[in-house]
Parts: sequence; C-alpha cells; structure tokens
Amino acid sequence: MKLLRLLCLLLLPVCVYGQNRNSGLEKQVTLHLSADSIQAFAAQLQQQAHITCYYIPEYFDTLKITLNGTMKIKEALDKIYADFKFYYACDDKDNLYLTKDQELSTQLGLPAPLLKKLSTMHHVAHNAPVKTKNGKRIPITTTVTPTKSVILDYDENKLFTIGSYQNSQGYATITGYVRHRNTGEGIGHASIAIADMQTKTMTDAYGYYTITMPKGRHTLMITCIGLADARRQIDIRGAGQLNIQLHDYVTSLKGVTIASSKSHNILDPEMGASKIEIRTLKQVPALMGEADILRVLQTLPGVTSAGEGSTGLNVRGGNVDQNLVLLDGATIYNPSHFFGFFSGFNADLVKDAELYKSSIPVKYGSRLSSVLEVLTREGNRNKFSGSGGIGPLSGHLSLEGPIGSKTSFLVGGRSTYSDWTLQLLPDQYKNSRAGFYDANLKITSDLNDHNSLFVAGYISGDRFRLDGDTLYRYGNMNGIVKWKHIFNPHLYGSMDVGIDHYNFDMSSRNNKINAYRFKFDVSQYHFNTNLIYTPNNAHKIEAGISMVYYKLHPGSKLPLDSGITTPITLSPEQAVESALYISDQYTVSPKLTVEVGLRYSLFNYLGPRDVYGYAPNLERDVTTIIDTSHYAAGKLFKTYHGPEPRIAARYSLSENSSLKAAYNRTRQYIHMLSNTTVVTPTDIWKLSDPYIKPTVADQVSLGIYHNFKDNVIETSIEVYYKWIQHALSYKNDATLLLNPHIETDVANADSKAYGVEFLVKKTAGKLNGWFSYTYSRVFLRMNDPLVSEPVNGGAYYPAEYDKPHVVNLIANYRVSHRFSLSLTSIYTTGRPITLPVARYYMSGSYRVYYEDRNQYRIPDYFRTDFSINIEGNHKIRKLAHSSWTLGVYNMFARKNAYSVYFTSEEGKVNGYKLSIFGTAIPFVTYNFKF
Amino acid sequence: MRYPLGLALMIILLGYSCKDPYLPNVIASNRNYLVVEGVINATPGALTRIRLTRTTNVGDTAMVAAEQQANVSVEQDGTIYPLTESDSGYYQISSLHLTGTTCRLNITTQKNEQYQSDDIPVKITPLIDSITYAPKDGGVALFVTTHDDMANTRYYRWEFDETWEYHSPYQSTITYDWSKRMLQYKTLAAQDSLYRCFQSQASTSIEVSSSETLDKDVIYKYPIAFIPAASVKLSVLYSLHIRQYALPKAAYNYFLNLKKTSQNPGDVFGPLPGELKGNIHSLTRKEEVVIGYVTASSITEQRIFLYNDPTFYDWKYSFDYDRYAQNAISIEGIDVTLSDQSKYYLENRSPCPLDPAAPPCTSTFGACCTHAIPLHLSGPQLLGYVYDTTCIDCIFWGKGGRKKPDYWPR
Repeated sequence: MKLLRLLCLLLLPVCVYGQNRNSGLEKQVTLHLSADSIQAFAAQLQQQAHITCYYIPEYFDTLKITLNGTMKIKEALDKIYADFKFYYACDDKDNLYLTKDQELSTQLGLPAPLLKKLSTMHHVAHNAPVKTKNGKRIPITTTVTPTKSVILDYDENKLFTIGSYQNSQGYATITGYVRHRNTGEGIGHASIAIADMQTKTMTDAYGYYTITMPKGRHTLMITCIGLADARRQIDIRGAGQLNIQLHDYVTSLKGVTIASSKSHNILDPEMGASKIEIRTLKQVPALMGEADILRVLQTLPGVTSAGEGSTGLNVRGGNVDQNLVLLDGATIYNPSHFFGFFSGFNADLVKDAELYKSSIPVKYGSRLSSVLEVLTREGNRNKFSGSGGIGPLSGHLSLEGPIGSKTSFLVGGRSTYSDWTLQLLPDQYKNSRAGFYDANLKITSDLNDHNSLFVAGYISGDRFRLDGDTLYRYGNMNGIVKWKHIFNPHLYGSMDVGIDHYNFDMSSRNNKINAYRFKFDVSQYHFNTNLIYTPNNAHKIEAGISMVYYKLHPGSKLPLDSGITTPITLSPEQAVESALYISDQYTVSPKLTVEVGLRYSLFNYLGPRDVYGYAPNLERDVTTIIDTSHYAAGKLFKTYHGPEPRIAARYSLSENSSLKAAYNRTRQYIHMLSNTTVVTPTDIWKLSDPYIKPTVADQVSLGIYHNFKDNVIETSIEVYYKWIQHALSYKNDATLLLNPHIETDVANADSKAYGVEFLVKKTAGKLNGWFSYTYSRVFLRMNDPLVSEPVNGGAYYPAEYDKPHVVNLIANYRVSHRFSLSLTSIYTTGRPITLPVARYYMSGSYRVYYEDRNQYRIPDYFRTDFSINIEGNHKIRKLAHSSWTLGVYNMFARKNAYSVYFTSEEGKVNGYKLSIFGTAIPFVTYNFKF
Repeated sequence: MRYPLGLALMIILLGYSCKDPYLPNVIASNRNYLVVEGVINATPGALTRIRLTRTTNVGDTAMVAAEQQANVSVEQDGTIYPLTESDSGYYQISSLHLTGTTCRLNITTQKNEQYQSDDIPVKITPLIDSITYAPKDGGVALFVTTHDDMANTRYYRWEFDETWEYHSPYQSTITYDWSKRMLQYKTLAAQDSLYRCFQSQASTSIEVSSSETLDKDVIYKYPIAFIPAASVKLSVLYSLHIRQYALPKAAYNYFLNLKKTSQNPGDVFGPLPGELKGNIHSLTRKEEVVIGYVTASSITEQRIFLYNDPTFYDWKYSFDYDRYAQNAISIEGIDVTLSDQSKYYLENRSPCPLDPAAPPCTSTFGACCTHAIPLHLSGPQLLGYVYDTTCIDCIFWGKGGRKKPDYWPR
C-alpha cells in the first residue's frame, strides 16, 4: 500500500511551501534500531513524531539501519545517509519523502527534476556528501521558467483548487474551455470524464463544457481523438472555471492505448451522427486533389449521391434539397463549385464537419433529412501562421493569428487558375470559360470570462461560359455574428443573427433580339437564441427560439442590349419561419439516457402576392384558373404549423455496447425546384405557399453499437424507416423557371425509405479507416388526386437515388511518421433509369418511347482511389512545413456509367452508356504551413 | 453545333468522359403503338399527307411497319374529307378547303380500331422573313427569321430539305467510241453526267421555337441547320429549303419535349425522360397509347443557295477516297470488253507519274492519280491521264443521283 501511496503522491505534490518547512526534521525522536529495515524506522517516526514516510520499499530493501538514542530526525537521516545514498525531503504537513536517485521537490508546481539541480545533486550525493544546515534541500527562491514540456507535466500534476468551501457537502459545477495548446482554438467534441465515476460530458463545438460533481477531490480525464489524453487533479470546493489545454497526439506507430471514453458512439443517446475529422478529410484521395468534405461524407453509410460528379447528398432516402448545410451557423444554399464537381468548403479552414442523419437536435429545423454542420477554425490565438497549397485546378491560402490577447482571426481563400485546362480542348471550346473562388473570414474574441463573440463571413462565386454562349454565374454570401454568454455555471446561451444569400443568373448576348439576363436569388435573415441549462449531471436542458425571414426573387428575365425580350419579373415571395424548442437529455441511470425534445415550427407566408384560384377538384392548369386574389404587403395569408418531436434513447448493454432508438419528425417549408437528377446551378428555390404544402418526414431508427479492443474498433448496425409526406414531384414537361403558377406544374407525392447500415471503424493505429455496407431503398409515389396521369400510374417507383447496395472502404495506413497511404473504394448498385419500350419514326428520325419511370438500372458502380501522402520532416523550428499528396482517382480506370441514353443512328436506335471519369485521373498537390 | 450544357462541361473536364455502346437486354417488348405524323395543310388545294406507322422493338433495325389500308379523313363542321393511301402508310388529299377554325382527324384501321384527334385549331403561318448564314466553328450555321405582326402565331415548327451538288474528283472529257474504235471528246452534257451529282436529305431533327417571352412575335435567327467543317455539302453548291408551320401551344410543348428526350440524350443535367400525350386518342380502348401530334396550318416555304465561296469560308473539303475506292480499275467506256488498245493501255501502264510534267498528285486527289498515258486523238498526240472509274464518276462519292433538280440555278 505504501507503494500506491507513494505513486499517488508523485502525482499529487500537494505540499505548500511554508515558512517552517523543515520543522518536521527538527523534531526529536528516540530511535531503537539495530539492523532494522526502513519500515521499522518509519514506524518509529510515525509513532513518536507523527511523521509519515513515503518511499518505495524495494529501493530500500538492502538498507539495514542501526541507530540508538535521541536525536533530531535530520541527524538520523544524515547518519543513514552516510551508508546509503538517498534523498529526503519533508513538507510542512510532516510528510517525509525518501527517494533514491532522484530528488523530490515539495515546492508547489515546480518539478523536482529540474535538470540542472538534479545533476548537481547527483554529483554531490555520489562523491562528497555535503551536510547542509537545513537538510539537503536547497531552497528554491528564484522563479524558474520551465520549458514547455515541463509545463505539461506541471498541469497534469498540479492540483487545481476551484471555488471556496461554503460547506463541503453537495455538488458543484465547473465550466470552462478546452483549447488547443499551440493555437488556442477551442476543441469541440472533447470528452471530459471524472475518474471512478460515471459522470461524463462533452465540449460543445467551441470547446465549452460544463460538468457537475460532488465537492472534493477528483481527477478529470480529458480525451479527444487526435489529441493527447490529459488529466487534471481538481479539488472542487464550489462553482468555478477551469480551462484545459490539450496538445497534439504524437502518433505512436507501435503501441496503441486509447482511453475508454475517447469514443462517444456507445454513450451518446443520439443516433446517426457522423463526424468527419479534418485529418481524415485530408488523407482521402480526392478528385483533382481537391480535399472535399462533401465527397468524404458520401462515403458514410446512409449517404449517397445521384451521380458521380455530384456533391449533392441524398441522406437516408432524402432529396438533395433536404439537407441543412450550415457553415458556422450560416445556411449555404449551394455548397458546390464547378457544376457540383467540387464542394464549396475550403478544407484548410474547416475544423470539423458533423452530419446528423437520424436524431437531429431540436435546435435545427427547416430541412427534412439531415443537418451538416461545418465549423471553421477560430484562428491561432498564440502566433501568426498560415498555410496554403496548390493543386491541378485551384490554389488556396489562409492566414491566421491573434489580434491582441483575446481575439484571433482566420482568413482564407481559394481560386481556380486561369482557364488553362480549357486550352487543352478542341477549338470549338476556345470560347469556354470556367472558374470559381471562395473566401472565408472569421474573427473570434473572448470579451471576458463570460462573453465571447465571433463574426464569420463567407463568399463564393462561380462563373462559366461554354462554347462562347450563355454565361452562368452563381454565388453564396453569408454573414453571421454569434454572441455566447455564460450566465452561471449551470446556464449558458448563445444568440446569433445573420444574413444568408444565394443568387444565380444566366445571360446570353449571342442573339441580339433574344439577348437576356435571367436572375434568381434567395435571402434569409435569421435570428436564433439557444440556452443550455445543466442543473445537474442528470439533466441537460436546451431551449431556444429561432426565426428566419425569407425573401425570394423567384426569377426575372430582362432584355440585354437591344434585345426585345419581354421583361418579366415574378413577384417576390416572403415568409417567416419561427420555431420554439426545448429538449432534455435525461440520464435516468448510468445505463439509460433519454433525450426528449420538441420543436414547434410555424410558417407564415406573407404578402404582397397574387394567388390564382383554381376550379375545385380539377387538375390545376392555366385553363382551370378561376380568379386571382391579391394579398397586401405584410399580410399573413397562409400559415402552416406543427410539432416536430425528437426522441432518442440509449441503453447500455455493457461497458462496450449499447442499444439506441430514436424517433424524429422534421418539417420543411422551402423546396428546391429541380426536375433533373442532380443539383444544377439552374435550380431555384420555392417557399411553401397556399398550394405547396410543407414536407413532413418521420423517421424511426434503431441501432446497436459495440466496441472492441479498448474502443479502437467501433461497430454498429442501424436500421431505419422513414416516411415523407407532401414531397414535390413534377409533371412531365414541367416549366420551373419564370412560372408564375408553379402549382400547375408540380404534384403532391409521398415517399418511403428504409435501410440497414453496417459500420466497422478503426479509429487508431497504423491502419485506420472504416468499412460500411448499406442496404437501403427509397420509393416515391405521385398520389395527387388532382393529377389525371400520375407518373407510373400512381404506384410507388424507385427514386433516382435509390441504390440498394452500397459498400464503402476508406483506409489509411501510416508507414512512418512522414509517409502514409490512403485507399478509397466504393461500390454501389447502379441508379435507376427509365428505359424506352418502343421505337418509332417521326420527323425524319427514329425515336424511342419511354414508359414507366425508373424501372431499370444502369450498370453497377465501382471505383477505387489511391493516394500517397508525404510530409516533410517534423522539426518544430522550421520556416514552413510542407507536404505532398500524389494520387490517382479511379485507379482501375473503370468506365462507370453515369447515364445511359438512346439515340438514333442510321436507322437504328443505339444505346450508350456515358462515363464522366472513365479513366484514371492522377493528381499532385502541394501544401505548406507556417 | 450546340452541345448540351452538361455534355460540353464533361468534355471540358479534360476529356475524361467517354461513351460506350450499351443496349440492355431487358427491352424487348413489342407495344405496337400507332404513330401518326403529318400536318393538315390549310392552304386551299395544297397537298396534305398523313403517315401512319407502328412502333417496333427498341433494338430492331427494320424499317417501321406502315399502317396500311386504313380509312383516314379530315373532318370539319360535319364535312368529311377522305384521304387516299398513296404509298404504303401514306394517306393524302389535295382538295381540302378548310374554312372553320378547327378540324379533326379520324382514323379507322384495317382491324376496325377507331382513333380521333382532339379539335385541331387551324392556324395561319406567317411568311419566312429570311434564311441567313454565318461561319461557326469552321462550318456554316444557317438561321431562320420570321415574325407575325399580329402576334397570333408565337409557336413555330420547321422542317427542311438540304440539297447539294457534288463532283467526282476528276472530270472525264474523253470517251472511247466503241463503234469508231477511237477516242473522242465528250459533249458537255456527257461530261456533266458523270461529273455532277445531286443529293438531298430531309431534316432529321425537330426544330421548334417560340416567341412567348418576347415583346413582339419575332423569331430572330433561330439556328436551324449546320454544315460541319469540311462537309461535302458545301463543296460546290448547297441549297436549304425550309417549310414553316404555326403551332398551338400544346403542340409546341409536345414537340419540344420530344426534342429534349430524343435529341439531347446523355445530358448530365438533362431532365428525366418523360412522355407527353399527343392529340390522337383511341375510341376503342381509351387507355391505349397513340403517338403523335397532328396540327393544321398553312405552310410557308423559302429556299436559299450557298456557293462554295472561298472568300467567305476557308473550305477544307477533302474526299475520303478510301471509303469509296473500288477495285475496279478501268478506263471509262472500255471496262467491259477489253480491246487490244485497252490491253495495251493496261499492260503498259507504268508508275505514276510517267511524265514529270503531269499534274502533281495532290493530297486531295492523290489516291486517284493512277496513270499518265499517251493518247492518240484526232489531232496531235496528247498526254492524257487514266483514272479509276471511281475517280471520274460522282455516283461513287455520295448517295445522290445524276438528276439535276429543276430549281438548280446552274
């Protein structure tokens, strides 16, 4: 037990350097020892002088002490020292430490093995014992500035006393930030657990945490993937603050030790949340070397995309417009570049991205299927630094650093080069142009202990002109201010306001009569408040209000130059979507956690607007319009509202496994109008109106989770079933642009989706990555009684993104600290297509007749990408750190069909399958960091 | 050439895209739907032709089956104008005098299945203002411009015929007169009959446009046809003849949809294929699919000629000799029976060119330059050239014939 006590002591140098620090050594004792052991010596000191000795018995097992008489303890020790070289130290609480080979300090926080002193002492101890006046300790009177590595030990070993005792009973709450040591940025999703207790909490996205525990001494275990584990000794006496710094985890290639709390898949009640680590993102081989969040997300179980080139996400049978894409809280309407081949997020600036596909937290609303929350970093709080890189298509650069002591900034941008790729094309494309850019700015400031603020802005733009004809442009513009306030250790909240804007336009000047410009834009002004109240560890209550004011300009077409295009400007649409929400994450017992939430959303469609009236019970058509009603500005003329319950529960089956269940309802009031398979820049958005009802989705899901090998391997199986009501579908030949009565061209549909997702993930080690298999189906049905000829006769048919079998493998193998290999392999069932059933001759050519929609499939899809990441040396003091990534996209050059089409050639109808990236595409990128 | 947006983009992506033949086995159902095609010509006394066919399997290569021996009639205000079958599946009439604003098409097939159109509005088609052309991507683009001052038309459809003159690489000027057993100069007409050929081709695409988004009912320079770079069509003289039809809006939508689903295939961002109902319905079985949209209007026409004008376009037309080359090496006129003289020519032929002064074997006609031989005509000895038959007979150089169209200007 002594051993344990000593070890414990080494971790807890609790002594305070006091004035009578060596008083214990001055005490008189009468010793009776003849060739006795150190134990006997210690027992006599304890008995007579109440001095407790701490030592490792093994170190002293050869020592035989023979001492008789009354003497000061100091003298006794010196006598023993004459035969046996050891160190001793005593603190003001009469604890005597006996050590061998290494001196122990009793000085608070300052490490014993101060290198210089230690060597001196060694020397002294082994050559000429010096009998000092005050024992052998040399009092440390000067302040020593330890090196950084020592500081770490210092924090780990220091006892932090928090608050002051009013009484020693009951509970206290501490709060604070977990930050990165090097950059000072908040660390999200770090786990904080109290040793020997079930209590556990997670930091929020900005690194903030709150945890409640019984007063007294505790050890906090702080863990986060990719960062070194940390411990803090705390003595909780009352509510207070503790900020914790973590530093990078130096990859250990051999042994792997992972703290059990590192993975939260077992313990969190929420289901279907997937976090993309930025490290993973940068390792995965990318198309043209552009590290791309959306493409990595597409490799997660339950996420598919309609086509190879597309970054649009179909999450668990949801349409591409049913994902709320948030960048620092701002809604990005079109998160893609270059027609959807690349995502709009600069991987250099992203801290992490989390996709919620099953239990969606109550604070999020207005989209049905998923929430993708992308957070940018806060910027380095300690020093000015930057990074950049160049790839075949674009270059990027970012700068960050502190402004004063409390504020940091991060600014970054990305842009394509001049259209050099287009120079490689045939002459007929010499007039083509394509390019994109995006830029982010973020300023984060800690106003004081209780208030912090960030301002973030994002702007992106794309323009392309093909064949010298129509010029297309689109872009996002977002700005947000978020203020976070800590009321008390139990209650904190945030408030944000922001503007999101998306616009696209196309213009053509080739034909002087028809020259035109078409414009569309959507803006939203949003305000959110969110409060999190943690009365104790059993409850975490979150409540808030969210309001969005939408303003859409559904389209205008104006003549350019001398064109005679009739100017058309559809009247704008405006609406307010408000929501109130509350949820409680209740830890019923260590085994059972439930999260019960309710979001109530209200949608008011506002004037001014003209609304057509249609003859009742007839198919809506221009011919069935019977009247037009005008609603004045600001008039609420259509209201939809409804509850959105969100329930999730987790039951632990064992320490390593748990069972989770969730039910989720979501409502969506804004819809993308698109009758193409993939997202195109010409897609526009439309608010729910008197005819277009909000879409409503219900999802139930059940999952079982089991971790192996100290949580290094995570496995899960999730099943879900989802119903969507009032999905929009389009009549054949629907006109979507510049249509003042969209209701005549769309039809009501519903959808059902179900699936099972298997995931095996290895989170650490030389080899890491994941393997997933998903079986899922999604069907649509046009069940509008007002449509006389519904698609496929009103029966269920597979959606364009229905891909029953999906297998993904993402693997990264670290050969050495500087060299790693990554492999991505994807297999999916081919997407459904409509095939022709008959051939006929008309207008001088053979043509084909299509019948039931989506009854056949294109050939299965299989692709493997490979990349090699080479980093420069890891010297800390270096001007810039650089890395190279070499890779091949589609390394087997498989010609995966993107689409199948039929065309008539010389009297025969020929089918073709078209592959977009039907060859192996190599790439090289260079990145640097300073 | 207008590429679908997505297709062009894929090509831009460094040409990584590619297409491969693909015909799934699953499509093998014979629906045998009735297909109706034609325009009821509202110009009094002009020819109206309606064609009835049946659909085939998608993978078939056979011609479509004509629907024969049907009773087809145009009905207006109770008056029935029966059409007579001229060719197999073609039904026509030249004695229509439509006076009302709508008419109807009735069909009764041989199997006594009855079909009827919706009421077809009878439209008046405005005149074509002009057909213009401009160089584009090395080729020539042709445009049609029209307008309706009354703004009653708005929706237009066009069909066109292209006709072009083309020549054999060499003109044969000498013939071997078998009766006189001597070589003689040909008459100009005889020279032309082998040298000049004419080929016609009907439009194979659906061309529709609308002025619905414009202030005025104007179609300005609608790109209707395109002659690709180096096409034989413009090697000598080219003619484009356009017929214009006014459409009701529903018919415009029908044809536009058909154009989208059948002419922009494989467009990455293209719409899902879907069918629009035509305006012919079965009276026997209501749910039966009938393909086609019949319209009624007057028809206006215009023709334009384009000469091979080197000042206007840098025409790089070249013959694809290998494609047409036959093994028949002979001298025009004597390739059937070999006389002594012809034997002499053939046996004494020597590598080309025999005479260093012979015309150079240009890259254009190099493959035709076979032999140079001395010829004994009535006058002094000349150096002549003997070519393969394929080099002097235009019939081998296209799919056209020797008959010059009546309207040909020269």
